[in-house]
Parts: sequence; C-alpha cells; structure tokens
Amino acid sequence: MIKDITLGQYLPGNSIIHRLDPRTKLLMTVSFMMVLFILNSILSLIISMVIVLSCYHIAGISYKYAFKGIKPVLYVIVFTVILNVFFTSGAPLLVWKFITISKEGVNSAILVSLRVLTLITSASIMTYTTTPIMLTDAIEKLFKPLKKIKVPVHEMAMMMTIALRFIPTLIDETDKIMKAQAARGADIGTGNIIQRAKSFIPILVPLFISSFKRADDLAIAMESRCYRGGEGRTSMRVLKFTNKDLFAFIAFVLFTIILFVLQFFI
Amino acid sequence: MKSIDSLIKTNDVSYVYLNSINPIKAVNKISLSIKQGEYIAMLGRNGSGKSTFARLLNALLLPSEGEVIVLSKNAANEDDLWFIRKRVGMIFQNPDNQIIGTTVEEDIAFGPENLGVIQQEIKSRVTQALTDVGILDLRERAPHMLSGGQKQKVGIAAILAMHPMCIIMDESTSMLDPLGREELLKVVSILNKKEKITIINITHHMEEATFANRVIIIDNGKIVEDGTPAEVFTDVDKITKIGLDVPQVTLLLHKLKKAGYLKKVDAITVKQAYERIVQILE
Repeated sequence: MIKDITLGQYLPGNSIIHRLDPRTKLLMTVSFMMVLFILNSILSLIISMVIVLSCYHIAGISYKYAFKGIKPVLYVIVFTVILNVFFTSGAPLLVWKFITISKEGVNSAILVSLRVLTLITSASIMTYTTTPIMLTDAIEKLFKPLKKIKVPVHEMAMMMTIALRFIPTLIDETDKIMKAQAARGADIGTGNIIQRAKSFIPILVPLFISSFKRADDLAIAMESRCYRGGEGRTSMRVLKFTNKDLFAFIAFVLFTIILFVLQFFI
Repeated sequence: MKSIDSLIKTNDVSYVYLNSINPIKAVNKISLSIKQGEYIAMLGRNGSGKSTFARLLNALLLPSEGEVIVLSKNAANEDDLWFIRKRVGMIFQNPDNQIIGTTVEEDIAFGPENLGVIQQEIKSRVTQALTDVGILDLRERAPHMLSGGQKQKVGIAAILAMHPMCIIMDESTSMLDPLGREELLKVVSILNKKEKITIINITHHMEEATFANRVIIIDNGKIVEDGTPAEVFTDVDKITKIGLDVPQVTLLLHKLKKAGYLKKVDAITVKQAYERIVQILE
C-alpha cells in the first residue's frame, strides 16, 4: 500500500495540456502568477479563475482535484478574509455596535481570496499534467544559461532525478525498519508529542546509515557506467517546442492582454 | 596487435587498502589473462579479495602495484579510463543501488547518454538491450515496482546498451531468490554464447560455476586454482580446505571415489554425474 503512492501529483493523460513542452508549462505558470499579482480588479480575477478551470476541463482533470489543492490553505484564506473585512478602514458599509465593515474591506477580501485560489489552482494544473522528471528536465534546460556563471545546473538536476528515483525505495525501507523495530518491542506513535518524536529516533538512525551506504553504492555504479558530469552528455529525452506550444503562448498572451484591458478600461 | 585474443591481462597486480589502521593487502600479485568470449566463475570466501580484484578490472580501483591491461590499454592511464569502463561493464550486489533512472527505459539510457551517443541511437540501443535480455515489456516501469531478478536484468541491459565486451557480475545473484538467480544466469549464458561477451561471475554459489567454462578460485588475495570446472572440482579436498563447498554432485562422486567405485571425479552437472553412476552400475 505504501508502495502505491504516486510521485508528485501527476495524473496521467493525453490531452493537449499534457503534451505541451514542460518548459512552456513552467514559463506560463510562472508568468501567470506574476500577472495575478498585478491584476487588481475582481472581474479580471474571476475571468482568470474561469480560464484556469477551463484548463482543468481541457486536461480532462476533474474539478475536485482543483479543490484538493486548495484544501490545505483554506484556513489561511478564511483568516485573511476576516482580517481584511474587519480591519480595513474606508467608507462604512455596515455598522453594528463597535464592528464596522467597510466597502474597501469587502473588496480587498474578495480580491485576496480570489488571487490565492487562482494561484494555487494554476500551479496545481501544471503538476497534475507534468511528470516530475519532465519538470526537472525543463528546469535544467531553462537554467542552462546560468552555467556561464558557474551555477551547477546539471548537477542539481541530477540530484533531483536521483531524489525522485529513491523516494519510493526509501519509503519502502522506512516501512521495513518500522516493522523491524516494532518486532523488537519499539513503541511507535503513542504517548505525548515528545515521546512520539523520540520514538522516531530508532527509525531515522538506521534509515540515515543505509542511505549513506546507498549513496556510496550508487556513486560507484554511476562511475562504472561512465558518468563524468554533464560534460559531453546527451539525453534520450529531447524537449522540443512544437506548434502546440506556439499556440499555447499566443493564447496566453491574448488572455493576458484581455485581462489587463478589462482591468484598466472597465 | 599481438594481444588481440587477450581481452584483459593483469601483470602481478596487487591492491592494498590504506584507509584502515593496519593496511590490508586484498589482492596479492595476481597475473591472469582473460580471452574474449570466456565465461569465468570467480570463487572465493568472503574477504578473499575477489571483489577488489573485479574492481581493478574496470578501473574503479587502480592497482597499488603491477598493471591491468584492457585491450592493450593500461587502466592506470586516466585518458583511457572511459574507454575501459565502456568495454568492461559491471553489475553489483544490491540491485536497488545501481538503478539511476526513474523508469527502466531511462536507466538503460543512462550509460549511452554518458557516452554522448546521439538521441535516435540511444532509443534503438535501449530497445535492443531490452529485447536481448527479454524484458521489453518492462520498459516504462518504475524501478521500485520490479522484482530483484528483474532489477538485475535491467542492470545487465543497462550495460549492454553501452556495447561492452565484458560483463563482470559482482555477487549479483546473492540477493536473488533461486528462480531469479536461474533466470539471470540463463540470460547471461545466452549473451556469452550468442554475442561472445566475456562473462566474469563473482560468486560463492558453487552451483553457478557449472555454467562457466573456466573457474578461478581466489583465496587470501591469490589465485589458488584456475582451470575448467571439471579440473578444478576434481580436487575436492583442496577446495574444502580453502573453506568453499563443491557442487553436491561432485561431492557425491568424490565419496564414491573414496569408496573405490570411481577412478576420478570429473562430473559437475547432475547429468554428467548420472552418466557416471550408470556406468558404475553397469
């Protein structure tokens, strides 16, 4: 059961969004987030939300996954809404005893919550439609120019790949160690918070030691397969911009213009 | 090119581990010549130096004394390091700790990628390697969803994609169940016969030596026996003295010889032993 967890939150599919170049998706997501911070009208933000949700529709991903991403930050949103509604000064909309709700307060509460919701759903759609390994590739390619100023881009991407590769293996191992320690009478996960934290030491120590052993083995295996850093290395997966990406970029730019036009002229 | 038939040659090779308080001489003046297409089983107790010796053969370790020559190139020469590692591939004991890719396909592509092979060729090499090992159906699988035997086959395929001349298995069967071990050995045997790839199987399972056409026994960093399986296992007393077992059938024949039924022990497989025993009965 513990083996079945998926890496990241990738949901397999074959939609146009799935097939876009990961660099396109990454760039568009980042720029879309910036656009969201600049946008300042409720109408524009509502339209952005609609755009993001229609991306879910195109990708064939159920809206409940959009909600799944929001869930953990729901409290934060509620909290900011309360703060904004009650503590923003301006033209009073409702006065009851000492509580004053201003028009500006309501306005900014809606703005902030819409912005956060759209931010999260738009970032989620990228991780839902792109495998972690593709994202790593995209990051490596996009940051390649940084190599000139001696940033170890390839090494960082390789480390991410290895981390992704070993997450399931280490989860498996944790499971085994927990069972082994339980068989020796270790009491895991009971008692107060300090006792529970302490009970994880006999799990973490063997896990750490074996990870170092694995790292050592892996380094030797990589070396014996002629790994010598990124220099002169080719790749089986080659990222290629296609017409789909061009189309996506044009659509993105058009929508951005529309959003700004709406904000400034209406 | 006088040494065209000798793939790997070692001249008085020694290796000393310096990082402990008292240096350990793990390999002590081994001289050996390995020909293209041989299937060698290298046997020895734990700590006999066989794994260290194997690591000297593809320049993972460099000899403290003597020299290792692979296809007339010296392993100590840094410029030839990658040439040698490309020709002499190695798979290790723990199948989990040698898979680098997040899918089988990517792991097999890792070697050719390091060699700078162009993209289209990597794809065809991956397909070829997977077909040769018979795991084409596992192409898209994630490594943690594979069995131990399958993982070791991925390891073999990953080396094959680099077009090697020799595969060293460093106790690669020791963590496998009997079925997985049998399948792995079958794959390796086929590669040896069809593609003429030299196989060096380092193991302490005596039964695996019967697949080989040459058996080398290492003890205390030295070669103590070197010959065909039939030759080596004849001397049952010597092998038991080193602390190794002989295949069960050989032991049976050895006992029959002691009892005076046989003149010499020359069977290492069940079939051969059966024939000998039938002869006695007749």
